[in-house]
Amino acid sequence: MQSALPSKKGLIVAACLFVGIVLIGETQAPTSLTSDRTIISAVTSMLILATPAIAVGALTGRGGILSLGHSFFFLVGAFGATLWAQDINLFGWHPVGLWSFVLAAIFGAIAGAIVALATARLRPFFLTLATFALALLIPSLEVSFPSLFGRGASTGNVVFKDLAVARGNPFLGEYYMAAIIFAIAAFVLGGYLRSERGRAMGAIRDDSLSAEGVGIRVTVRRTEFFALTCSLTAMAGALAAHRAAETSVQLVAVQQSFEFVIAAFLGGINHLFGGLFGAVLLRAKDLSSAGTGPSQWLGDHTFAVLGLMGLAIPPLLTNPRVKQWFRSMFAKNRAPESDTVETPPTAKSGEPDGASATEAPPELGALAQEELASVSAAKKAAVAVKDAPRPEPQGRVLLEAKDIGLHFGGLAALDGVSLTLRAGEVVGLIGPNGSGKSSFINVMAGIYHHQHGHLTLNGEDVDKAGPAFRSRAGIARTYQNVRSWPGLTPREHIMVAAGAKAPVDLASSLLTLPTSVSTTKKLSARAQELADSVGLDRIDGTVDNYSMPSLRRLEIARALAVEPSVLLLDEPAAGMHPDDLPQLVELVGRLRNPDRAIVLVEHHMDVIEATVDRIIVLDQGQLLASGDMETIKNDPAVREAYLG
Amino acid sequence: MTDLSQILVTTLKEGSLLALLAVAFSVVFATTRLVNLATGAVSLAAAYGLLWITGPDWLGGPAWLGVIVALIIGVLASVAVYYAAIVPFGRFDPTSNIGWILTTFAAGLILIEIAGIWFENRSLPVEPVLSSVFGWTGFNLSGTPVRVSELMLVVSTALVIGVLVWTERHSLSGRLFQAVAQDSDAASLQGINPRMVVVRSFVIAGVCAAVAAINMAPAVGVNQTTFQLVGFKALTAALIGGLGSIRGGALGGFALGLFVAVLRVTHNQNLEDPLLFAALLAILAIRPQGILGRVAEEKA
Repeated sequence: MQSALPSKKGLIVAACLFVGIVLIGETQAPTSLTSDRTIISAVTSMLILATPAIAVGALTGRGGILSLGHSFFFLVGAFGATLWAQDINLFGWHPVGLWSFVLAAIFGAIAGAIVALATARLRPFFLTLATFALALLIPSLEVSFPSLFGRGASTGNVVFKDLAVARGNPFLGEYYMAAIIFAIAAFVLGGYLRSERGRAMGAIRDDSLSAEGVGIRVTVRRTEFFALTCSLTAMAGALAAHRAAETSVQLVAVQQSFEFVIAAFLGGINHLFGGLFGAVLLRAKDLSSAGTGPSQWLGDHTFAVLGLMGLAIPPLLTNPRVKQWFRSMFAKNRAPESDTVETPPTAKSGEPDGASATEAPPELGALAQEELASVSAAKKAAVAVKDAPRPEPQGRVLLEAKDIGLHFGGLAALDGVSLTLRAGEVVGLIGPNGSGKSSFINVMAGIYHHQHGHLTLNGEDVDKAGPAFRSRAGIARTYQNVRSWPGLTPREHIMVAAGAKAPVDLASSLLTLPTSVSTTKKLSARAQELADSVGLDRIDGTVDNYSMPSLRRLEIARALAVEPSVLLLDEPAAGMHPDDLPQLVELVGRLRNPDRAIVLVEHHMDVIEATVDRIIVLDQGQLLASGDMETIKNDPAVREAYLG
Repeated sequence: MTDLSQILVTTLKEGSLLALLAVAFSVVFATTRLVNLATGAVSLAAAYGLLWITGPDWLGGPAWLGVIVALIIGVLASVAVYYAAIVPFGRFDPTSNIGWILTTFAAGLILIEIAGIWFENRSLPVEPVLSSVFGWTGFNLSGTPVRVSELMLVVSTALVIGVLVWTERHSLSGRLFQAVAQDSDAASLQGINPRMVVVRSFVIAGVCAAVAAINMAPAVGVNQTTFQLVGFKALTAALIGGLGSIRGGALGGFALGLFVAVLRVTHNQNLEDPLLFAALLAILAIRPQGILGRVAEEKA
């Protein structure tokens, strides 16, 4: 899992670095106001930069959101700490000193939540642009609202004043505060990333559609995570304001956001402490007295250096050798493998069913017949399952689709399709490519929204509900093109799905309270149980090494983790070797449950024959026939349209 | 009446600049699906080219040579951004590869830093390329003066965008462009070299940025901050019109031009920048595909 659980080696290195910084601060603390403050001042800057850097790094590494606008929240924090703190008079109480940091954190979280609520449903690409717009807003604010700026900030407001005075050094107060803010940020972020909420963010990053499919509310999670990073950044901004003589836009140039990002990338976005390493590297030049040699040159050409780093780092990070090195460095942290994520085909092709590359070719009638004859092994398994006693489909109605109509422009993908699913039954959904099978599944799962007809789930009207709501209401599905989360282990896949319905509360996950830890343990055990039930082993490695049958099993286990009353299996045999089909048939047989209805979309007729109670046939978006296997086989219309 | 004519003239003036740069964003987005944040910097490089040739403190050469050099520098800088910030990445995946925005921004910073080796970072004045035609210096439109240089801006913008729109629809290279824009993989299977088309799109973006620079530099002086900022405003324009569409970029540019003109006539120009960038946020939140952009639907 990315940016969580660093290996012991990684933790030790980070701890050593942190202790090192503390030691430097202690030994270098000047004893009088006239002594050299270069080093302690540089170390403070490092820590102030490191806080937003680890926040931005986690946001990018775990959330898949690159923010170029965190300087805005840095500024919000600065205002929160100074202007507001000095102006506010709450029943005679002036929230100064340490309270100003709390205020800054709250303002940062609110500002972040507002921005994220407006933009979190965007694809990461547009989200990045939106954050960039935020960064651009900053300099124009001073031009337009000059009265807001240039006011005294830190006068008489030195943090840890007593301590600083006692030690005879005001800089020590800033330094301790910087270290404390960084420690808070690291602790809170670490807790969040290790919790259910953090794992869910990983799923959203890798594939938001299937994350929603297991019941994760994507926008809510993204907003929460974004606001958390903004809040931490604002705390660092508050300290920067305390250090500066006055709050001005000079605190945050557009390029400063860029600096956060560079520090995060430089240290590695896949590690919680990456930003700290990056910040130390970026600020190392400040350690020597300014005005001499290389330090001077670096100071004059900061943006050229930042620019070169910006150019060099991302290609370096995508380089397989560097990735390998990172893996060995932080054994549990894998670099993003998102380049292996399948790009979903778009629906604009005019083919409502979006005949994709992995779907069988159009002349399937013949193909289905051929496979019917060739896969004898599956038939044997089929006989075994068939002979087992099956419950009569007399269970209560779980899902009812009435007269569903779905149109893409002028094209009718579904035209008046009805289906009633009862508990305990397994229904086969067949039809030629483009007949509307996948569209129907997508309508039931809430990915497409039908324009006509009604859909009820357990008696509840779900016409307008999205995938996350429907998943919580009891629909789970697998996908025709496998949609896994490559940054997560198979165990984490199942844990995310099992924990999505009732995530552990925010405070527990931020503070790593026992509830959060025990929930994680419980979910991990549940994942093991489900993996065993579908015959999945090696669930702690990467999904990259999984074969197609294993991936299909993982998807089924993930769907079962939702504890669905309606399970939609979208072509589970696609891409499988014929030899693997008997196991699939056997697995579907085991999924049968008196409280659950299963819909199986499949082109392999032997798999259908072996598993289902009844079949409905779609053609050109309409219901062509329905009934048991014999009726369908002998239906002349079906033979002509599909079976050939 | 004066207000109306003032709004009209300002809309055309500001709109032309924004439209040119917005088209530069759109053309590159169409073929590569990425936002080239170095566009403002490319424009700045071209402006420095013009200053270098024509500036009395520099070479003091003729205006026509300055224009040619500015165009060449614009194209070279644009293509350089492609090879420095985009090629090393390999394949672009809009769903995950967000690092691209970072690299183009970085390339822009480097371009500016390179220019900084020779030029100071302050507003450096440039003579207008064209101040009179056979002694005629302009006319009055119901009280609003229109100078020849402003006419040149509008005419050159109309020319560049007109040629691009015509080429896109009626020529073979326009078809190649559309093919790569719609589906780069399918295009390459048909024997089209997508990289060549992408390089061409960067050349076109370079030309647009340079034409904008040639017209803008005499009006506002050559200044790093101004050029970068105009570049980002043009991104807003491109997003309004729909990234990837040439006509959309032009439309967005003039729409934004109108917005700026109304603010100026009503003496609210100090709200211009915050409103513009707030608009950028709002557009991204409400309709990220813009007015003329298409929605890419996701399918399970």
